[in-house]
Amino acid sequence: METTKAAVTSMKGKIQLNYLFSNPCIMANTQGRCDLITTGEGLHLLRFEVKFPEFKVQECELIPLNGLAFKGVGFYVYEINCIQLSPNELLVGFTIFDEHENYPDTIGGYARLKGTIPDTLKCIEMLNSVSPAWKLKND
Amino acid sequence: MEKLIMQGKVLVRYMDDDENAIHDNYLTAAKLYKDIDGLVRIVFDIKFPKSDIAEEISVYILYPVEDFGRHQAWNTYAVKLSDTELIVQFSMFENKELYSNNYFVVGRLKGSTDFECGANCLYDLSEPAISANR
Repeated sequence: METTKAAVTSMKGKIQLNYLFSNPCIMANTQGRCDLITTGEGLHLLRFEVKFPEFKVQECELIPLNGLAFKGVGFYVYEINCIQLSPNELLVGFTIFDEHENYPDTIGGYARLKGTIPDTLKCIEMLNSVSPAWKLKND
Repeated sequence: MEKLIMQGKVLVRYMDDDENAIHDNYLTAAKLYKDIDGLVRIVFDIKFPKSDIAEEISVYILYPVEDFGRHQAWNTYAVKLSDTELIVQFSMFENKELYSNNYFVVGRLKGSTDFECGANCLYDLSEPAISANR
């Protein structure tokens, strides 16, 4: 996806991708750096620089919506999860599969980012801490 | 013999049948237990559709998931935030034989992360968050 000149890098962090060939057999996993970019059109892009031998995804669009979603550019991204870990920290989980190959190859990914969480990116704010909810009941 | 290894909270989201819409969600407490075989199960209250009564359920979240219990979890992922903190997410059906009532659960727990989760479901994103090598 082409970003505009008005794109802003609002968060930086690291990402781990697990490449599943003929799920559930894992082929490889890797970690790298990633950025959360907000475009002038209000899209949130997670850009990263990690590659697998036969499946190269370097950028995916995050949908500003919690829960299961189904969208992508050249591939499908689903099970997107944006979890606010703290006021300036975000955990983003997602799954990708190639739409052109009958879904044989899947990449599961998680990114942990720090910086300014865009106002337009919906997160699960209820998980911004463990306490006090972890003492909700009889603990 | 089981050991309580983590406690925290989970956000339980009930999905419509087409899995595209969140019908309901709520936050509740959760506990993670590990048995002598290394199996890990999470325990929390759940309110099934058309029921006002919360019911405590137990879901094994290890991957791969064998035929454990009535509420089978799938697509389980765990992210280590530190040696003592974990994010865990999974999908589950109320009735796995009927594939009915799909829930999506995500939780944050604190305690011991000393358990196996399968190489393809465990992510280690512990601190420092921005020091990964290019």
